[in-house]
Amino acid sequence: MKQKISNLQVMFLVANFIVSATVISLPQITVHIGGQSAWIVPLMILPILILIVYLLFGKKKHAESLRELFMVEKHSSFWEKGFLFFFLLFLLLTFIRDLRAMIDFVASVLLPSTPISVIMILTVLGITYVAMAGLEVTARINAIYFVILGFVIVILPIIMLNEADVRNFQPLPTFHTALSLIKSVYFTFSWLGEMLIILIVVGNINPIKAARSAVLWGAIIGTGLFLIVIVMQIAVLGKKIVMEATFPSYILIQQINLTDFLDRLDLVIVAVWVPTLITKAAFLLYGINHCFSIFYKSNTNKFLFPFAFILGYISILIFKNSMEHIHYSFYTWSSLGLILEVILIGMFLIIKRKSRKNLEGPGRPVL
Amino acid sequence: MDIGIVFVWLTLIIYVFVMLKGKILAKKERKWMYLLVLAVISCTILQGLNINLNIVTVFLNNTFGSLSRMVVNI
Repeated sequence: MKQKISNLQVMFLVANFIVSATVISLPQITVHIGGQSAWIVPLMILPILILIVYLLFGKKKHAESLRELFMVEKHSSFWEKGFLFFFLLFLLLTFIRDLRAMIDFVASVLLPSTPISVIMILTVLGITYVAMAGLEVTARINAIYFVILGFVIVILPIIMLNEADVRNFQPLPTFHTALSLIKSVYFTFSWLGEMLIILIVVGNINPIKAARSAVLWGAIIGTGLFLIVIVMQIAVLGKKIVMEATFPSYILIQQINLTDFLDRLDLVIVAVWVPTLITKAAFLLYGINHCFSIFYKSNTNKFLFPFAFILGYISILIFKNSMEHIHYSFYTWSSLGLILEVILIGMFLIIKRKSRKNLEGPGRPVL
Repeated sequence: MDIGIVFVWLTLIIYVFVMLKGKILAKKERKWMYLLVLAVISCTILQGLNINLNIVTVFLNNTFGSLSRMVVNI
């Protein structure tokens, strides 16, 4: 039976794709390039994301053409197979990068004496458990945890008001800072563009007509939450600390100082954030399995368990140390991710046009 | 051999055993399962011997990474 996810779940999934992995280390490079004006970067990216959503989903009256896309039983055209190949590459690289980021974070902050292979195994077990349950379960778990994480991020400016210093935003942005902000956008865009992951389940969205607004609101919420995080990091920590710290968001939440007895609130917030990253990874794993299922026309998750372990070990083997992973995330992914995203958008538009043409039947104009 | 490798091997043996015993795997699917299990075992051995495959990352860093370094090199 075809699994269905609601528009609310799609919205939370998209927001999760944008914000959960981004908050780990990305603000470091964003602030390093953009300086104290880096808070403008999410605002510069948002219109591009909105434009992409409008481009991908098109008019509401043509939404029905999306329903049959990427179904396992259906015969896939040449363009669909091409799209799936690049999409698979995109998902694999994102999964490996996010998993290693999570492992490095846990190893350096929470469990410093535990070997990273053990952390990887336990994380992969959790991710596989969620992914094997299917799309609907992953979307439901994501909705629960993302609402809590979103609430925590939204109240962050209130609970950190006593730590914020407005002078950290000085000097204010001028036209001379525009070039460094554009460079910062280049380094940040591929991470926020990960909202494209939702495209693989576009046929599972119910009702399909409201898919565009759901993805749009997801992009707005995700970017908005990233904006809050980056503003608070600059306001509380200042430019110099953010650009030197490996995990600036963790240092930020360590600064929460509400009362004398609530001094380890950071662990509570990490306990809320880690499940959202696990659900993102589970969705990526589900997407990888879905791509393989379309290729082989067999809807099964029997191979997911050993395959997840292979990806887990690859995430350890291909990065010599955490520094190499950070360099890969900042430098390589910004270009590689951007190229893949542009290819995916282009191919999706072609597939959508062909699908609409088939739906309207021969003899009708395709406009 | 660390505890992680032993755990992964045991888990995989149990998983494949349950799959075969319950006749969940079709005949043509078995070879794929064995291939994947073999790949996992190879990965654990590589990890146990501390052999890294960072040649992939080095290649990507030298190609796509250098594109980003043209924009900004910190």
